[in-house]
Amino acid sequence: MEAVLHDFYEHLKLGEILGQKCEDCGAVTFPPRNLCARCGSSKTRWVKMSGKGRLLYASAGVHLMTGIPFVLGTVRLDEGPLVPAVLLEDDFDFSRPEAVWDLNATNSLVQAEVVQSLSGEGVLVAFRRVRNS
Amino acid sequence: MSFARRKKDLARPVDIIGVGASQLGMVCDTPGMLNMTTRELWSWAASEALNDAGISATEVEALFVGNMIGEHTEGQYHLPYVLAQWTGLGLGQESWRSAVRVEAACASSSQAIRQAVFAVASGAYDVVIAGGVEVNNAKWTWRNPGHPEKMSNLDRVQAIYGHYDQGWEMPQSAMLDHILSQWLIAYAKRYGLSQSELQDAMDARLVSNCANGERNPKAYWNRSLEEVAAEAGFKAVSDFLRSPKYNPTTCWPVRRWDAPRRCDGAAAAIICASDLTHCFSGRPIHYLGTGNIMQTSGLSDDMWTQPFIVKSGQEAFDMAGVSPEDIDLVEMYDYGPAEYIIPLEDLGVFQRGETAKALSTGRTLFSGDKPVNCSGGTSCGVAVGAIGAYCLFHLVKQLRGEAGGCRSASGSRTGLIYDCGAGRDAVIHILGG
Repeated sequence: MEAVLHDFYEHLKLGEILGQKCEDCGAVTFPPRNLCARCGSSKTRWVKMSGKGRLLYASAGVHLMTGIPFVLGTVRLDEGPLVPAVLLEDDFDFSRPEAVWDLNATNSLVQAEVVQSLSGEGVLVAFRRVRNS
Repeated sequence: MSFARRKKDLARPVDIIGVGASQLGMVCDTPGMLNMTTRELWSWAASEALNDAGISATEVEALFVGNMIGEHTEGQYHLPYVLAQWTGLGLGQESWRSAVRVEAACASSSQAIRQAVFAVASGAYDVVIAGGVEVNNAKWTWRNPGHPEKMSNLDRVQAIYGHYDQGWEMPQSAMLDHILSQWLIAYAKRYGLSQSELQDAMDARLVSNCANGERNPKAYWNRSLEEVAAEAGFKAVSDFLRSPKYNPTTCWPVRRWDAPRRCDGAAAAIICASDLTHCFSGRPIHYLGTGNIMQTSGLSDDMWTQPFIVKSGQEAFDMAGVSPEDIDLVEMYDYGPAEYIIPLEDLGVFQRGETAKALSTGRTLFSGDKPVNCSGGTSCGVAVGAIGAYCLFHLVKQLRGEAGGCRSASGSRTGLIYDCGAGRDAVIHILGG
């Protein structure tokens, strides 16, 4: 068994987003785990994620621990997994949070970026809409 | 090797023969609860439940208690042996019991009750006590025992946020309030509600919960919304609820008043093998069935429905041998409007897309034909690790016709409890009179 959590974050700090691919059923587990999320197999290996996906849903509100407003998206990754992720919307006006309505049900193409976490400690996997998609 | 899955059932019938609950409130503010800790709150609920069942503590064979954040508020691990002493169960040279704590975020007490039901159904025990207790807003340590002090908001948020996956959701800022707002937006888009119509439904839930909770003497909040609105200078409750000053948006479309009103409290039940209920004076209510499905995230492709809630309901209905149409009333852990509307439809209590109409036509009121939260729900107070046990307390009182001013008018015979840990761990209990 590998220290999967440790290795995932060590790579993430370098800007590399890794998942685990199952050699038995072919499913990609993300965030990575030691055992395949679909079939439970331990025959998994590291794969680099494409960082591509589709935005299904989005919401806008304050992070209760930091007081920082942010947009959270739900993203279907091209490799299959469904993940919650900060959506980088530079022009979003948090005094008009209802504008987030229009980010829902658009199925926009998104691309992952590794950015500093909202609290300033560590990094997270965020997404940005690909323009003209 | 594989096996064919079989229908799940309790190995022998189980009844609830007594229930009890403390006041809901704040141990730092609420008269009658001042300076209480988990110990006194649990004693309050346990003694009421024991008296209600007509059973002596010495006859109780085991204790199952749900609690979520006791390590943070009281620095206390291994809470069950402490609470056993505060239940009159003894523990010592002449009294031996089994006592366990169950932690499952907001579903802690529901999971404790499930484990207690399974323990009795298996034949391992005949009569046990189960429930939950939480001091949610105050903390104390061994340096100043029995002197709880108000927690700062940040302190409380940090304690509660232990329910997130610390290796993924916390660093990723995958906050539940955001995800539940996505449920609501998805619901509105699915059923063609405008933003204003969505807010009408959210307002109607608050009005329904508060109108019910006004009549619940154990509620933390039981003031009239009309009065509150009038004090703020509004003629209509809807104008008050749409006022950014009095009801600011927290995570759109959710506003401050939509959030659960967190507080402190405890509730307990006496669970007994059905063939022994004649030995005790408490009027038995049958525990018909339960379902529990855990999902990792509360995310789905179609957020207007949550497969883990649908499946937990199917499990419970199959075990109980009843259908959603048989449910006369519901007590639920409605963590905001999303966890009111979506579960009610996923469990089949209301038809898809019909909850807003059910709310606006008064069906969910204690006087309606399908009452939801006669207790007032989370709008009127929620002690997180005890919420499922509170739902059980209120439902048993309703099914016995003992709910006083908030008694439902529907002649209820069968009721359902929905509890959910952190938007991912749905627990259903179905009870019958």
